[in-house]
Amino acid sequence: MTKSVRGVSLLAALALTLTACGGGGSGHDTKSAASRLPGASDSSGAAPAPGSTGSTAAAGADASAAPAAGAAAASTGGSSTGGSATASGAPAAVKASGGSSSGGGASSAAASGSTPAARNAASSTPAGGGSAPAGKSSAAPAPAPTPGTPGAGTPSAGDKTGVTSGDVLFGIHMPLSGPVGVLVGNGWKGTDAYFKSVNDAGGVNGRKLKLVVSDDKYSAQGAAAAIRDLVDSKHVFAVACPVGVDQCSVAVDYANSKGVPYLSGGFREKYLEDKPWAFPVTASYPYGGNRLLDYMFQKRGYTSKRKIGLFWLHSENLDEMGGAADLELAKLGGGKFAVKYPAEKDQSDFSAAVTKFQSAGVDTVWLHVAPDLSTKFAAQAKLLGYQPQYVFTLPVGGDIWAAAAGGNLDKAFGLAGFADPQWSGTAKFQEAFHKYYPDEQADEFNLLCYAIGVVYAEGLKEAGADLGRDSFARAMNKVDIDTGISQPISYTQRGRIGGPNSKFAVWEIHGAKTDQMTGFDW
Amino acid sequence: MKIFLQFTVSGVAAGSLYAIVALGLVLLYRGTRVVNFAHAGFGAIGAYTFWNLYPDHVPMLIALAAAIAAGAAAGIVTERLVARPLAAAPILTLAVATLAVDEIIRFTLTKLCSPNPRTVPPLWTKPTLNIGGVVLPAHRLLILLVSFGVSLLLAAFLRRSLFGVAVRAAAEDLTAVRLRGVSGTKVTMFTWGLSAALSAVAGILVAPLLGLSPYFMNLVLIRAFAAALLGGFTSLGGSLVGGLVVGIMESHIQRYTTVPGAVEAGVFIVVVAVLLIRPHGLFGAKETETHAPFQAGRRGLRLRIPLPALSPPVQRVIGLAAVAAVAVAAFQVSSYYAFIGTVAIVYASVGVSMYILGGLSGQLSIGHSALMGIGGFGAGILTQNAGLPYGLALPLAGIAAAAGAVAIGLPSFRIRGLYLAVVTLTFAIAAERYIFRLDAVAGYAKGLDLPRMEPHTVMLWALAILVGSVILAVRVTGSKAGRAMLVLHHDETVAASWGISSNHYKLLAFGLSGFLAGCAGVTYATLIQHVTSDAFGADLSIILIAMAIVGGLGSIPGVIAGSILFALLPEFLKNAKVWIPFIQYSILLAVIMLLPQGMSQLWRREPAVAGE
Repeated sequence: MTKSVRGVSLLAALALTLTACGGGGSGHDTKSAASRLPGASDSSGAAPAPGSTGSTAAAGADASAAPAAGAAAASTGGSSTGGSATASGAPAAVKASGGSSSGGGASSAAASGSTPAARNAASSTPAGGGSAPAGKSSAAPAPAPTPGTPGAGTPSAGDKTGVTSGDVLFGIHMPLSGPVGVLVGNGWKGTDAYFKSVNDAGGVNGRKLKLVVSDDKYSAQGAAAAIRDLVDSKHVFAVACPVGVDQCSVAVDYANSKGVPYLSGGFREKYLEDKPWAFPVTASYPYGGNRLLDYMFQKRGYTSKRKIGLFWLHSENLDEMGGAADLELAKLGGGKFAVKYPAEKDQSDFSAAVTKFQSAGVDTVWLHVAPDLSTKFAAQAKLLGYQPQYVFTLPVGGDIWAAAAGGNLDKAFGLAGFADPQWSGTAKFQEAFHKYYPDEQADEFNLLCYAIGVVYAEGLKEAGADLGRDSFARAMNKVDIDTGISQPISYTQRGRIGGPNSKFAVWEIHGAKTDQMTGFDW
Repeated sequence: MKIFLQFTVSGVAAGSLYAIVALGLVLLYRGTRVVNFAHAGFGAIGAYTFWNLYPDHVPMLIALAAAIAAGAAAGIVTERLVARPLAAAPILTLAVATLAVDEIIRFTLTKLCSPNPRTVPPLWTKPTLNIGGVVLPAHRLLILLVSFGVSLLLAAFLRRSLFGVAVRAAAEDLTAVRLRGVSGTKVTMFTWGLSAALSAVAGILVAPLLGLSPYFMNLVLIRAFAAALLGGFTSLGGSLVGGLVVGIMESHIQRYTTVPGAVEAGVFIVVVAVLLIRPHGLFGAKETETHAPFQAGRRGLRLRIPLPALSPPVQRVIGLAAVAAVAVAAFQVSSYYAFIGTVAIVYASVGVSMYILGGLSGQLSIGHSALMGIGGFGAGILTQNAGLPYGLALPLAGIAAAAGAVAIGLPSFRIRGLYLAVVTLTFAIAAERYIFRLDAVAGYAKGLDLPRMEPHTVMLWALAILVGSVILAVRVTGSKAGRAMLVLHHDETVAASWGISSNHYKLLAFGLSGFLAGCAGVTYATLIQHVTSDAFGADLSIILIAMAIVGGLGSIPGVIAGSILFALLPEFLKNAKVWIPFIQYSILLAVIMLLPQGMSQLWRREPAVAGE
């Protein structure tokens, strides 16, 4: 009995220690991280979701500064692949953006909706006004960066972690270990190649670009560790997550709470609504999916008579696309999807799935899955004598999918936000990559990481010499750039997730190869 | 009616896939009582050999012979180097060793070939069976015919030939086999080779449907386990029937719903229902209990760390000092190292919970990820939706996990050993794919946020739970209940003769273990912050059991040591990058080979089951 009491006492002592450390409960949580971000205001007016252009309060304010900038940028997007607007002479053609004379005063920065919080206010999230969503605890553990309040004079640069007079440290987390690491683990070399080319040309605003990479092991736990490694141990200035939307979801949450700029691949839209420090370089999946439907109906002659089925990877982050597509399909007069089938990432047999599509008379199967799943589906469908028209939405080109399917996806077409390294228009990327990695074959992930490097450097350049996380975030909100190897990337009023007016490249599979049919102008 | 038939035929097609993989699993289990997780790896070796030779380089028959030989060779090498030295080891120790072998094989294939899938053509394209518009593709028909043919041939071989009878007898009594003049070593080696050859054949046939990749066979393996379980792990025909039942069920569930996880939930329900009625599967025979699940086997390395004998008060002082040191260190290290340290502590707590269930009471569970998930999601719901303070939500979530554990433990009244282990694994899969994705839990898409805390703070919570877990485990071990569980572990019949209520103590062990795992799951989820069902996947369950086995499931310090080793090893191997899993599993295998009773044998004075 005495021993039991001693044990309980020890536990109680530990529990008290914990409570004193501030870990004892969520009920006292007060402010969201977003409310303490640059330019945060108390405005919480209901606004349309990002993706509906120019109808929010913040966007309206922006319109007064440069009402047509976004539309103009969009209308010309994708036409330029060269240019030498960056300090390094890298292939980035910067376009005019709303109120973006360099440095920008507080009023223009905030009023243009270009600060993270202003963008936040423009989104429809309940957290946009500075209070946490009901029932959601998000007490940020770190002090907030200095906000750039409208009319308050020159805003401060903010947190200068990772910045010295001579360099600035950037972190990437991605899978480096294990089988996924074998597949994508060299992707960061794309960013590295771009950084080296910039540094060889003198750096950005006199600073050299440095890179550290952390292994997120392609798992949620690994990503949670990696983001802490980069932010709290390596003390990077900003972070990127090029691969693995599920891992990015975990890490962006932490980065946002710490006020660390976070560049990434694709996301679902709603998840980013209260994360103004996030700068995805691809359009969201819902947006990309809707453009595919638009393309099918406007350019490929699809009508309500066609029966379309959706076959997508069930992921916490991808199903939002299906809901958006339902609405878009109805809007286009296409009725409803004949079949919607969420595939599991480790599913092996698709006999029943094929039978479901086949028996419903589906003539077009829209695939949004990893290459192994599309390979299995197409192979098993072919054996059952089912060979529908396949269409795709993919962030990167299609060669991986085409090669894996070995001809079973012949004549499939789709939209891509990024080029395949083999496509025309990637010459500058190829040149830079092979200069610094002469013995390596550039792949899709190198290219994606290269583009992340381009966008990041553009933000640094816009931020000017007084670099801090606040000034960088404000500068990023002015970025409207044609990388030449991707859809135009913009964080201006065109929207924060790669831009709702983002253009795509159309591609088709011929045999086991993918051919680019258009530039990034659709 | 035509659609019904087409879905049924599609189910038969899928089922034939599971059946042909299950056949090899059952053959090996029947002959050696080994649950082989490397079966998929052997299949991949065979498939890669075949499809790299055929059709470009050699005729089909030569490629087939080479592939079967390669698969069989992999099986024989595994038997010689891994299974034979561990012959007397507990069933789960060998299973974990084969898991390591599988990881090593797959990683080697990834490096030698490519991680990208590759499409290979079907071996038989015409004629496709088409009756009244109901289609069974020719290649599927081929798999079905091969499955039937192989099971018939094997059944005849095992029944009619002396060597076949020896294979069957070897699992029960190797000495008796030797007395009949048949080399026990040869019988075991032959069984491994034959099983691996079967896996190679399965790999060759399955590749055209799944695409060739180092991981392609693993996807079928879990369903094949379910099929073998349904049919009975000792029945070849049963695995065939089990495969078809699983396939047809899967097909018809998908006909009516595409709700993710519905198939996994359906498989779990059917497996439990069948095993409750027939504890050894539809056609399986009752097995002779050769040894308790965690009975000490081969001693392995003779090395022993000469720890001084310490009195209990001194042990407590040292323990308290260690806890205090970790608590102080929590605030001295960066949040990254606090994160890594917390993961190690969480794993250690789950390890202690597994000690109570497996080490003490001898119940096999590979479903602890689900219990952690109940805790983690439970705490998320209680704090975020119900607004409870974290300190209150944590034990409540632990209680919810305990209730879940008791529910999984109920089948243990009738289901034992391997069957119970696989049932818990199917529960873990169903929980990940279905239960945790319900809107009332984490939701299909949105996931769940836990109260935001710095890793240092979470580390203290985790440490408190570990301390509590150890105190509870020590108390239980020394109590009347603990002694009853130990008796239960060794022999249920003896326990019954002593008036010990097996069912009562089984449920107690499940409940206590579930509570501790649930509490650990709360801190794990808090650490990750934004959790989805993937955070508590079935693969975590397999890692957890591997950690416990490596440390020594019968020892509290052992399970803690194993957990810390697993959590920290990737950190030490950081620079190895893509090679990390390869090195990690090689070390795991080496530890199992050298220390079959777990790391705890390094400091243990007497070989023991539990209760240090």
